[in-house]
Amino acid sequence: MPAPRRPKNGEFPAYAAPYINRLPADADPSKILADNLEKVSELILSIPVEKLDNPFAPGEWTVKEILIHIMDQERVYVYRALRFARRDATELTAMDHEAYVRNSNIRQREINSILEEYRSIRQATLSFFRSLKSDDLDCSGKIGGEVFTVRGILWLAAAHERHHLTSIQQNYLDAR
Amino acid sequence: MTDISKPNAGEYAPYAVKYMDLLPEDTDILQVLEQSLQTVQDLIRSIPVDKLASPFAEGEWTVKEILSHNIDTERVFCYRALRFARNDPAELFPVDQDLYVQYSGVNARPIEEIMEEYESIRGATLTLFRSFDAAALLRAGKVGGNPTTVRALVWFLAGHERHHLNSIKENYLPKI
Repeated sequence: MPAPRRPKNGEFPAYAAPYINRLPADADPSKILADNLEKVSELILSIPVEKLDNPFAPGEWTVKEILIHIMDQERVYVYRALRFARRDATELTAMDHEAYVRNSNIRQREINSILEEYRSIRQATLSFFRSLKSDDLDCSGKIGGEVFTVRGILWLAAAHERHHLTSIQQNYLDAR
Repeated sequence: MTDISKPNAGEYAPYAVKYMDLLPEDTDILQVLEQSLQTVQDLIRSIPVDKLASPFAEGEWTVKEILSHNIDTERVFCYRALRFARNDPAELFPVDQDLYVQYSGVNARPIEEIMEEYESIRGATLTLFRSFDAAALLRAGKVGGNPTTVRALVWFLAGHERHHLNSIKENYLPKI
């Protein structure tokens, strides 16, 4: 896949802008996703296991909950990008990410199994983005009434993960 | 790990019965998906590279197109399984498989890259279905009006893949 240029306004809705705007102008989102495949285990395994099920503040997600949220979103982002890249005009529905976390059984799962799933999803994400032709990146569609291009989804996938990993770093590691 | 027993009629769309019928009642469905990856790789290696982008008859798919179809189907079915497993009430949409193949550009892709994608998506499928507990496997939703359970989706994937591998063996190998 050619190095993707930054998505312009109109390639993603306003709610995605704060995430996407935090990536450097010359960012390569595929490279960010590939690099984090290596880094995420190290980051998570540096947190004591008994802290993985504790929210850092009341009402916040736990580390395991943040991880399942990133994983579920990533599966959903790639599905949406696939539909648009195949010129499928169906308008897609948004999802309630709070309900997804609540209805996952993430507390019962071992961290190693969670990280294994995390890595497997990332491999499938990277192979998807590698498979795209340059004109696929411009394909667009609607999700919950909001327009996204495939490029916008790729940038959001990288930016969204970065946002949550940074928050884990700050709230669970730097704050110790 | 949770045992994923065979779904009953009514847990999948009527057209899917032909795929379910390819799998005996006592099948270990995740083991089938783990092992069939090797079967696909062996089968593809037995076909000369220059034959992979030719249809066996006018108007039929090429082997590469069948592979792309399996990959896309697997991504779509995992997405459906995730939504239903998380108790998401949204009704989901069928896909137009010919449109997906048409815009895949797969005949121009190297076979090694296609197989790498095939392998990566299989990894993400296995981690998804291994992550579900017994309750999640029995949750259901609708696709194009048909009630569908989570466990039926993984059985479909295994039967659907077997169907296409059989078709490659029966229709393509004799012409090589």
